[in-house]
Amino acid sequence: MIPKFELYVPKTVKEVCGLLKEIGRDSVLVAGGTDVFVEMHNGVLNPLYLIDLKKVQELTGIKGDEKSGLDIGAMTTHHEIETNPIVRKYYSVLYEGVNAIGSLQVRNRATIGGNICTAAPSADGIGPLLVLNAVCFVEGSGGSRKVPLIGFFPGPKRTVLAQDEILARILVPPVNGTYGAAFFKYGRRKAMEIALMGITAYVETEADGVTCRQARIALATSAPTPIRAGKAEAYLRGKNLADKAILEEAGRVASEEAKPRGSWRSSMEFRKSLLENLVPRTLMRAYENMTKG
Amino acid sequence: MENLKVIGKPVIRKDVLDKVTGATEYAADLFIPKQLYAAVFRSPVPHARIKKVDTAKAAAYPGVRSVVTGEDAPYSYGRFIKDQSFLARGKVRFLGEPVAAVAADTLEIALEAVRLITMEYEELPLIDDVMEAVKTGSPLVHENWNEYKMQNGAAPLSGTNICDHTKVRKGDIEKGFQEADVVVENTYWNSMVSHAPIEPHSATVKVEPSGKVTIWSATQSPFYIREEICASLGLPDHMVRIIVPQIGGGFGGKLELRAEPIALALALKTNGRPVKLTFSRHEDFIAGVVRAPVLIRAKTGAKKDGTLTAFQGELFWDTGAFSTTGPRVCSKATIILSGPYVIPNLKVDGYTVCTNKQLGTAYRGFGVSEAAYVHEAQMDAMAKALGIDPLALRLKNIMVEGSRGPTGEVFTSVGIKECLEKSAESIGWNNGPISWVTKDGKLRGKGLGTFLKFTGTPSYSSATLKLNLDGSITIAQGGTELGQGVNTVMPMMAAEELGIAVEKINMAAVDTENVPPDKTTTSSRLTFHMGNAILLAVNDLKEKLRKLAAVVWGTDPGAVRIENGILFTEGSDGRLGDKQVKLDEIKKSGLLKAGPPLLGFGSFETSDIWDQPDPETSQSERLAIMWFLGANGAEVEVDPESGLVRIIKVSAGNDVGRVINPVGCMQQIEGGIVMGVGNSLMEEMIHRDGKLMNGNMVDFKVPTSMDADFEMAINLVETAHPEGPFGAKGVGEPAMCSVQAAIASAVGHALGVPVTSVPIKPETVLAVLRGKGEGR
Repeated sequence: MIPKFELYVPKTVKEVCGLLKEIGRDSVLVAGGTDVFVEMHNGVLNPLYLIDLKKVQELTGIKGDEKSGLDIGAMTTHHEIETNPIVRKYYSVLYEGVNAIGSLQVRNRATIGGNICTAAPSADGIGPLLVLNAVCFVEGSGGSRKVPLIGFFPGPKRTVLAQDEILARILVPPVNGTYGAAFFKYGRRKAMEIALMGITAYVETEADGVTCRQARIALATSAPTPIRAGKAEAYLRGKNLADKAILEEAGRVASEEAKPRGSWRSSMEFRKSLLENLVPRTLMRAYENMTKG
Repeated sequence: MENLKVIGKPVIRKDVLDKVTGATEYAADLFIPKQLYAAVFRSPVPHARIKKVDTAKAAAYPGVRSVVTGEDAPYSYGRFIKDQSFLARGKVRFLGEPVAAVAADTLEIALEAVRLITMEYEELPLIDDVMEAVKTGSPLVHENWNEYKMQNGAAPLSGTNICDHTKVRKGDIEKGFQEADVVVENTYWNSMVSHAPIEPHSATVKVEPSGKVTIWSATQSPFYIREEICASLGLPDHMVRIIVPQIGGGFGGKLELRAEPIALALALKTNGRPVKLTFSRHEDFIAGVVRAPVLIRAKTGAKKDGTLTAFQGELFWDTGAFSTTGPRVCSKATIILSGPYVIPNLKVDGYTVCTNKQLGTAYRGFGVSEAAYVHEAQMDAMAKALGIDPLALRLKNIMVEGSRGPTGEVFTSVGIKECLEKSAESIGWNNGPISWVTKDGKLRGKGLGTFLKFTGTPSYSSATLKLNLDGSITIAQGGTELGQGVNTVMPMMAAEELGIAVEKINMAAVDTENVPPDKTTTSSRLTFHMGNAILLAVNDLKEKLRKLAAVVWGTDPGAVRIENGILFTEGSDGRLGDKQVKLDEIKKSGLLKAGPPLLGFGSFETSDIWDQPDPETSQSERLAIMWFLGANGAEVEVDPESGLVRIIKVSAGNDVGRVINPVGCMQQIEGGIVMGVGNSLMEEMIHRDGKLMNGNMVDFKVPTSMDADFEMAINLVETAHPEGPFGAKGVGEPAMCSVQAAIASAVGHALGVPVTSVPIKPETVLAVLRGKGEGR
């Protein structure tokens, strides 16, 4: 049963930040509500105030293109993202990630900003944004600032936002069409699933088409926060991406540097062995997507 | 049986519009004027002696109207052993057992007040492993079985946790194994599964000053729960009324009392105000009911040519804290554990065991899915040992017309061979290998499953056909619509037999005060049993119509006939005479105004054919009015890197006797296949120290519509049942009984190692592939 709360429905970012400054300590922001209301129902959250962001126009919409980069409002739903033609064509890994969230009904409510600010280590939407080097545009009562997404999560289920700040927009850099990326979610069913483990891979090659210029690997449910597998990325630089043994070694490195938790859902060893087995496959898919593109 | 106009033609289910538009009112949606809302204080520990339950603060909380503990409601119930109290008394036996309850003006108040209740207790040793629980000297869940009132149907072993023991003895088991050239032996495990219906348990109870009890409940079996309530309170049947609103799924989980006794304990103390209790989803997981986990040992013997000579088995059925229907489920699994095969020598022992866990009870299949995967894994292991094709081995031993089953009964109307052949053909069994590696390194496997099941016998159903004055018909009967389509199938049978349009026939709401008795909506029994009752009721109504027409037309009743929907006087040559009325147009004829209103009544029961099985051997000339036999096939793909299993195709061969509504029949089977996939690959209730870890819909993984993305090939086989209405048999449970067996068989073939634990988990798959595991 949802506990009683007082509801605020501000219309501008300025209003939101003002409210946060005043009552932020006792408030919870609601974007799509697909996490907030579940947690209130379960008794995990019991805030005095809810601040609903749905009427804040400034937080909506997808602007830009592959040349200028994307500017995605935090209140953009996953369904808007997964049906956006530019996302589908040039940022298909982001499509793959958000398409794996919940179900169509959930994606129709839940937002990309909510997915990021819930800061779950399992978030499906974060991995693709991490390998695309996305930047968070944060607004507060004192002004705005930019925070790289990789620096947005200081700890489990925590963000760098101050009490009076909100995530306003997500900025995704331009892409030049010479990269390949792939997303993989490990779960027991095909919808309404929380990733037991998630991998997003991004690769660019030198002119020869095989030598790795840059690799980026984001891992979900593999550490207390969403992470990049920096050691595996560094290992791959300059290596031959068409060589299966290289990719397998990258899997071992990524598995080594990941710090998944063991729980009744799955042992740490099993999660590590999945990383070892599946990072190479995801890298290979990323590489194939590049050569296809 | 020729020229059927309604039977076998697709009819859109009668409740579809209300259900898809959300207009249907389920039990959890009801609001009865003046109702109070209940909430339950549940045991936080799995096994403890209760020292004190303090409800004083809750009782004093504003808006609370009634608070009860077990001592306030000293009543007990239980299907075979009356071992359950309305609320715990003296001891708690599982985490989630109701200890105290509150009725208040609002649900918020009730939930708040429950938080103020405390229980002092002394923890007792946790009994959570079925194999530990059966050891001599194990702590006991129930210290003294003699304390309880026993119904026939279960015989606990004094001083143990075993609440029943079923024995199958046939032929000479030692001789059977001596004759065998090859013996295969294995141990199998099935995990605990929640029914997880879309609607949790919900009941609203009103007790009038006269003592009359009215219960609105999402129950599968209103007459059975009325019997239980009457026995508990010592009330006559007519003082307890059960009203059944629409039910949001049951699957066996709504057979027994669950929310009703708690709401009733409160309603006895609210001065006539109704009390409504709806379980939360979490409560439904921890304190609803489940498919019990079971450990099964099986040993099969065969000659070199594949002829089966002996089968021996032991089942340890972990039915949880109370006996419930567990003993009957275990008994059924014990009887059919050897499968639909001709095996002359059998020895099977089934033990129903109590532990400190959720209550195991009826679950779609009633023990048969769990047993089927065992006999099928044994057949695969035997085929491998003998170097015989698994299909050929099955066909060599499969039951045919006139075969004797495990209970010695001679079988008739046996369509299993065709079911199995078609299931195999639909997955291309003979068109290539049954296991191979794909180009991208995935492991493919094909598998087969069969099953044998029987319907609970003896049992009874009855129906009243009310002929409305406009010629339409209302059927009053006690079978409940769980989504299986009974509210469409019954009107179809009546329409066929009367010769009127199915649109003119509807089903009355189920209410024990207004409909004639029916045993239960379980055991895939309604189409057969209620169908027969309806046909008898139609005959009765026809008889009365003939008499009425004879009076009006001034002729002898013997000269009035009803055929093909026409009521007519017989002419001299046996053809239509001068008077005739189409039943579809009976209103226009004015005939009904010429006499008193008419009812047709039909009553069907099966005790006359039943031969009570010998308790030492389970042998019986006729154990059941209806046996079900069928098969499934499956093709799967195992990912050796992730351990995930993908279903490529599931085929089915279901001998339904006669298809009544092809749409409903296919939907029923499709639903059964998807449910079987859930059992096979995903669904499992996981415990740590007696505590359920995944009591929610995120962590307990029921398949979604997106997981039903594989191909299905369903073959309907129609081997008419001589006693069935239009030859029909049941299909509700048969739809899924061997799905798990076929999938496990396919995965076993893909891995090259039999699967011995269900659900099949990626961890297990990876362990098997690394050669560390043995399939569990």
